[in-house]
Amino acid sequence: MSAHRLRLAAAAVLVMTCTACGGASSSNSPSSDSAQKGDSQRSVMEPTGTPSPSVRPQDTLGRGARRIQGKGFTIAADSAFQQSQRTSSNGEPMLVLEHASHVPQVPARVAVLREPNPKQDVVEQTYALEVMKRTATKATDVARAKISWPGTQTTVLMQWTENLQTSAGPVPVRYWQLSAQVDEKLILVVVGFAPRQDFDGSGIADVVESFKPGGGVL
Amino acid sequence: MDPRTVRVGRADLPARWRDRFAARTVLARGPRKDFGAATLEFTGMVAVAALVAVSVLLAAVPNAPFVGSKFREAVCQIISLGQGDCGGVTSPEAHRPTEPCVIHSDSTTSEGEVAVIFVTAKNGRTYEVAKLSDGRYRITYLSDGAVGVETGVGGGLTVTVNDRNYGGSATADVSAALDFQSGDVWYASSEQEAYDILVSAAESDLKDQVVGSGGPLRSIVDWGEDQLGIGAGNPPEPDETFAQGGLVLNASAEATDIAVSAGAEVGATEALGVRTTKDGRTTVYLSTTVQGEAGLQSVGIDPNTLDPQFIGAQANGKLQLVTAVTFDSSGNMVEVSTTATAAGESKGLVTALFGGSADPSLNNSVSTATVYRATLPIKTDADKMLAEQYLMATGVMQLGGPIAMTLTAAPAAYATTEFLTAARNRGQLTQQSFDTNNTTVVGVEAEGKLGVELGVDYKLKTGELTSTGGQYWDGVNWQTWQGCTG
Repeated sequence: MSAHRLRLAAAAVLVMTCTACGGASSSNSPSSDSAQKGDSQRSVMEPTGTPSPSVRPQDTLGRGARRIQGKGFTIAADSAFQQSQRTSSNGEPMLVLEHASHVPQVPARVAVLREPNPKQDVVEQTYALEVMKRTATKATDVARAKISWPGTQTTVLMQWTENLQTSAGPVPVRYWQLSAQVDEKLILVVVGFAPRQDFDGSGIADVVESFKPGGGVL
Repeated sequence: MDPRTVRVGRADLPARWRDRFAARTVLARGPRKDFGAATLEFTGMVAVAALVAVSVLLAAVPNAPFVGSKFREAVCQIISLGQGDCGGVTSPEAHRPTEPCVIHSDSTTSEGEVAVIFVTAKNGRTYEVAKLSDGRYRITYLSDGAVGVETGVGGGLTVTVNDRNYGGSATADVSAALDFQSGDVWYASSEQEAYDILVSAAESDLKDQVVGSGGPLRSIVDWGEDQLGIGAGNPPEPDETFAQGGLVLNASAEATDIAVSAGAEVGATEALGVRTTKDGRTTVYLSTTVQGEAGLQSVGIDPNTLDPQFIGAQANGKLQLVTAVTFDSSGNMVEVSTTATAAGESKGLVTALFGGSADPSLNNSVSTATVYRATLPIKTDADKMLAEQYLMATGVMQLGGPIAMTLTAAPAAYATTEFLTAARNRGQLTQQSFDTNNTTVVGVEAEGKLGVELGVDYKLKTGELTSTGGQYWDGVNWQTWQGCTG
């Protein structure tokens, strides 16, 4: 046996011994969570932030809100939001809910997009998103966090503020983006944004928190 | 003559260009008190536009791709408001690429200086090992799901480098690398160092699976290995990390409608992914489809009448540019490069645009591919402005913070040719040719993705790929790029 294989074997024995002694937690099993794949190489990509304010899925609907069925999800909004359906660049339907803000060029909007058969999971993609927003677009107040969300394998929330160029000049816009890995074959993305000064009163947080995967045609 | 058209010598300046200038003037001029000044500036811009129109045509002649450089230099000085180091030609040596090129082969070794192999560990994770033209080795960890190589090797991993086998059999599959999504990259100065990194990475994988990547158990195992003098330890920090995006990366742009371009001729810009390096540099990769009025349709020239030909773009002349923008650790833009693949129907367009070997017939039937890359280091304010104009003209509106909507915002054609001219004069311009046994090269439709960094910015469905040579522009002529021929 080569020296290399001897070393590997010894390391494996040590690993197994420690596992037997301490009992590795099942959460570390690669089969338990696809997000665990890559592990040390991907540790840099893992979300570590804390959402502000805290974001959690909500079952109860606010006053006047109605639940809207999308393709593979439901979401709730009150009558202030106008609903429309678009097609995103990948040919998938994109549900849009919006109402006017104090900046005519930038509405308060929530859009739900679909990515079937994604080549990258939400951890890797949101890592790329965070790096890009921090570096290239000079976004501020950036946070990326994993959130427990029913009906999904992994859900990552990213929040940031960036200046959008409009015909009226740059407008600071606050974004929330919820990226939900429903399973290996589907990612649903909920993007909510509004001019920063409108965001808190826009109702966008309630709409995002009402998001539920499942239901309808997948 | 259309009254909305400005007549400039042989060229008609379309009203939409003038309108664009006017629109940008409106955007940039701000408060109404500046209206008078803006009017004067607009008047000036019409004159500049006339120069620009001629300049674009001069730049577009494939048989003399660099004629008009003096003229463009003068225009550049106007456009950059006199700030500019617009025509400074550097020494030929300064143009020699510093980055090594990579040649992919479908065999475990190649006759040339470069070999690429794929090593699949028992857990199914795959590493690519490439010997680079500068003598170094590059080890790339390919992320899960990116490749379909499932060959297990048992007992650890197997490596073959330059016919030297470590362990059992190695796995080679060129399509794997071309389809690679993301991963970590290490550079090694020797074969032994490359091997050590591979072993430590594979061992780390094994430990990850059993005791996790962190926590007390992992600490115990690592400590135990140290005490017993066994194991290869954990791999060093990667020199680079790639991450690729899909819809998630572009969703906010789509939702906001900012994916719209600077003009109808420029398609939506898609963010492809990012690369971060140990020293804090970040590179953002973007893909833009350009066609129509971007001026690229006029890169053809009728050899008899010297009138522009428009056959390039009209014949499905859609061109995909993969642009890489690099920022230093302080967030300053330090380099912009753009890559295009001349293959299939895009061959004539790309070749002419990048000043490659002249092909007056714009023959689009050749199945071989040439990858062109123009790189401009950002060392002066003038080059920064020029790069920003290029980015803005190709639909990249938000990079680097709010880009100044200057009065000098130029049409895409001008911005593109100016960027390429600056890269020729003060940066690096390279071309690398490939032969492939596959005639269905995806070419510029490819998801250039991060394969750009592998020296190939397009994906082959199947088949092998062999580099037939590389060249770089030394400021005067194309020179052989040593080490880039398989």
